Amino acid sequence: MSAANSKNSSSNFTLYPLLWLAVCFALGILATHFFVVNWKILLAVCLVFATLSAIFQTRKFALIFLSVAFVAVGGLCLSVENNSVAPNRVKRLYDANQIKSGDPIEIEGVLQGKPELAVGGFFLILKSEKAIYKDAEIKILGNVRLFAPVREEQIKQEYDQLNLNYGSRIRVACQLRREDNYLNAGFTSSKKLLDQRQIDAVAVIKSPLLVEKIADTKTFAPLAWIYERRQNLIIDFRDNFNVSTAGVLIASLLGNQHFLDKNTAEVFRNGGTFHVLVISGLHITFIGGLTLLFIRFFTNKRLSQFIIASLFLWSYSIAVGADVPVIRATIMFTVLLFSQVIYRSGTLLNAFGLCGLILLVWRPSEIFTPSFQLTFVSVGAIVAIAFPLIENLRAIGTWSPSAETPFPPNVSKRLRRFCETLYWRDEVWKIENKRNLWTAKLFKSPHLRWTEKRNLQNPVRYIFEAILVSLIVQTCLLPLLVIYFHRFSFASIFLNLWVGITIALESFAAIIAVFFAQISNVMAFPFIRLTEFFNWLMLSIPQILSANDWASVRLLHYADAMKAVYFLHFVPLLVLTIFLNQWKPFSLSSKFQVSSFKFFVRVSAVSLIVLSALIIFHPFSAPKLDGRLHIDFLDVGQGDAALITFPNGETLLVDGGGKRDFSQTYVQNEYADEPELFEPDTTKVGETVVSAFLWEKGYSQIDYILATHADADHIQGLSDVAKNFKVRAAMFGRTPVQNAEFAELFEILQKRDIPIMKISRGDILNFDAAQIEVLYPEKDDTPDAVSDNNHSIVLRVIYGRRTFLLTGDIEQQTERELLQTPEFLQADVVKAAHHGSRTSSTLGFIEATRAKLVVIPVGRESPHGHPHQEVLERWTNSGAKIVTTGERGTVSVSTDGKDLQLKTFLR
Amino acid sequence: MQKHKLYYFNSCIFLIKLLPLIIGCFLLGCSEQKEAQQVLPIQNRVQVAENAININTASAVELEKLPDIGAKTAQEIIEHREKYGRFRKPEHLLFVRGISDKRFRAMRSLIKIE
Repeated sequence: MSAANSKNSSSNFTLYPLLWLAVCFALGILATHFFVVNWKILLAVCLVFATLSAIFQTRKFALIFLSVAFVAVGGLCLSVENNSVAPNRVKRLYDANQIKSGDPIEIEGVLQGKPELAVGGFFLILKSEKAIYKDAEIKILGNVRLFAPVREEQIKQEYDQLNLNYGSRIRVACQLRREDNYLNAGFTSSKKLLDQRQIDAVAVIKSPLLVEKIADTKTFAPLAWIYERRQNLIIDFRDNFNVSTAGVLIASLLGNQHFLDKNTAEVFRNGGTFHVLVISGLHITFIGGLTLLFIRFFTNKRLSQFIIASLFLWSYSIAVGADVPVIRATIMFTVLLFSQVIYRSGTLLNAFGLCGLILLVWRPSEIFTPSFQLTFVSVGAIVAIAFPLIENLRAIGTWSPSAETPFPPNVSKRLRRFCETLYWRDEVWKIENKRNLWTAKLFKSPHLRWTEKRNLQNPVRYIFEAILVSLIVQTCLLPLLVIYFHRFSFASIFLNLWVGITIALESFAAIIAVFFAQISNVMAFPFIRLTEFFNWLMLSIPQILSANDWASVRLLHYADAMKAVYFLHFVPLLVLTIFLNQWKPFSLSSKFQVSSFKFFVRVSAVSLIVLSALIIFHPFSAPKLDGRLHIDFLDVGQGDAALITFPNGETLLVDGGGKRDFSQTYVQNEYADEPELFEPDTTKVGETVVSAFLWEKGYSQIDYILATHADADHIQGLSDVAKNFKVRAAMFGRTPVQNAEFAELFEILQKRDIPIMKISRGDILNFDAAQIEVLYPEKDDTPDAVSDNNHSIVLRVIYGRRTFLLTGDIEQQTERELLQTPEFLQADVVKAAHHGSRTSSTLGFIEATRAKLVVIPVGRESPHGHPHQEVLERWTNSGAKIVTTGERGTVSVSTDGKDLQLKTFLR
Repeated sequence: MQKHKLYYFNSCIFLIKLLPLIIGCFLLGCSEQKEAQQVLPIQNRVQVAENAININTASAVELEKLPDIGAKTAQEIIEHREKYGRFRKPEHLLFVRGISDKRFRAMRSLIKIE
């Protein structure tokens, strides 16, 4: 009704009414999100304006009423969604602290889908129904994700006996968690990520003994069949191909990313092409397009084509797990396809608006998720900018005199020649010319003869169009890529094309190979090698490019007021889009010939370039100097990381957190001679926590990094920092190259030409007015000198009258040695050694420091039980105030040389 | 008008042709479906010794008699009991920090909950 109404009422509205309504709807959602409005008011507003617009439907201002009504509906949908979470949803119970995160709980529920295979175990999605918590049975709702590690043969057999399947009703005893770790600025809340995946809480199943299977419930047979096939395909891919190929195929075709290996994933990330490994818009379009092409062989009825293609797509998207982004893409494709079925002349923009409306009504809060924004901006860029632009260029290029277009296009000669080179088909014109009563001689581009002779016109045109689309999409996505991924890849404009083509070839080869593998290994072998060759080919070019730093840059994002840049970026884009869609190259009295319009276009184009440069080169991002010395102790879970910002703006990062990686395994496939090393693509503290914090603070350069010693929870994160930031020098006490984590960092430092400084007891480092004394360890230049807890670097930072003591992981023995010169130990703020373990913080040491404040960097729940109770008591008895990062998040202390200020992430 | 009718007629015919394929898929799917079955929990298959220790009442000293349990783990068990109440199943001992799957299996036949 609404669309019809607006069609009658205004000439401007007729082309794509649904787009405007979708925009109004989205505005309503945004407005309600930022200014909470009562849903009753919204309902009233919506009803009043809808009636008004119905009454005055022939008048022009009815449009305004209708738009207002849609804004109200948008807001209404959001508030309904927010208020409709059931009170016994797992997520609510945990958020209200009715169940404590990490407490033992027994949950009963039905498995959704088959167990999702991963390396070293599998994931289960359990639709919960009942729970037993503290001896009481409660009814609950919501999905939980469980990971069952499978490392030994016996465990595997026990799980096999349990025969966990789609629809199995099971009872699991586990410690469900729903909480945010790593409480620092810049870290994306893990609750948010879970909510986006429709998961309420997660847990690890410690042993198969904790799982009970109660029964198999009835399931929908075709669905069970689809899940079964997918599972088998994953196993087939895994058995037949090498690690990298299998990972790419399983992720891109079957939507399971657990088999991706680290190096391959890195190559994709660096090239800005990781999105091909996630099933989303691009995939669905591609697969849908292929199905459509295939079906066209059998029928040319648009309706049947539509039905079959969407049936296939929907079963595919359900098979790959029916994640929200996949469903979103499938809805979009179905709607766009449907618009072609019912009215062929309907504009794509209108269908695009309809997609937006459907998706936003389905899940209004989706508008805040990165995945929705990325999909929408990129599809919008293609539909609203790329297609009209290419359409116009084609029209200019293929112009020949006709009744509708008697005059040549009203554009500059250079543009005309360019378009003609790409689009003019001389054969077509010759045929046309014969049919006409009159003849004409047209002068077309002189380059044409050259390209036509070599049959180059088609390839050149395809490449040009593809690069144009890619460029437009990348320009539109720029702010989103910087905010969400802190990365901009210049190379991605070309790499997207390259990867898109090769991954399609690879997928075809893989499907043929797997098909033949069912029959005979000998037949499959050449195809398997071919698939692996395509995979190698796909990775080779991004690898060469990612060796250059310029090809892909890591970017920080602006804070505070400068954030407006990201919104402003869309303003010139929008203006240009509107101009583009009104551009009529054949109209003689085109608005485009008016100089004021030309001026507007030029201004927007220039401001677009300026804004892009502002985002990419971030000239105004550096934090302001305030003449104070800051130390931020980051919450990196179990581990240490402290950023020291000196009064002159220089920065020193002491340790970078991290975790030892136990996930490496060896994998044997059927066609390889020996097992291959597999390193899964896990998220790393150094990237998601430490780097994100530094970017959020506005740093793209960290002057110095320092590793107190070579334990993983101190040094591993520094590798990521060294990769992502400009670093002037790295400082170590010792250089134990035989240590795996140190070796990794060492390699990166050498690759990036970062000099290494060795520091030892007695060194004094000057940073403007501030000073650092190195208290430990003794100088030892032998290459295999140990770098363990007791050889941690101990630093005393001095600024004015204030002192800070950073102790690494030193234990009793070193504390005793340091006590020989107790006058160097006095400090206002002490970082407790070894995460508050009882191995350290001896009474004598505590007394020598005479600390006012002690900071303990420790996880919320340490696997070693840190901080130990006796240590806490010792510090409290000495009169020091204790702050732990586990409880309060980032602990920031600062001084101007006299005062001492303490700030924490959680107050 | 004529054209329209033909159009719908043709698509109907096409769908009818497609029907066997769809039914085939369903049948194939159904044949994979197994009968719902009752599975005995693995834990019920363990024979518990007569002099088994009741983990809900045992003192630290008694708990230390279990294989692989030292003073520290015994203390952890007692703390866990104080914090979360009695163990409802022997397997829930696995929630205690320091008790791995392996360690638990070693003592499984020596413990009971009542």
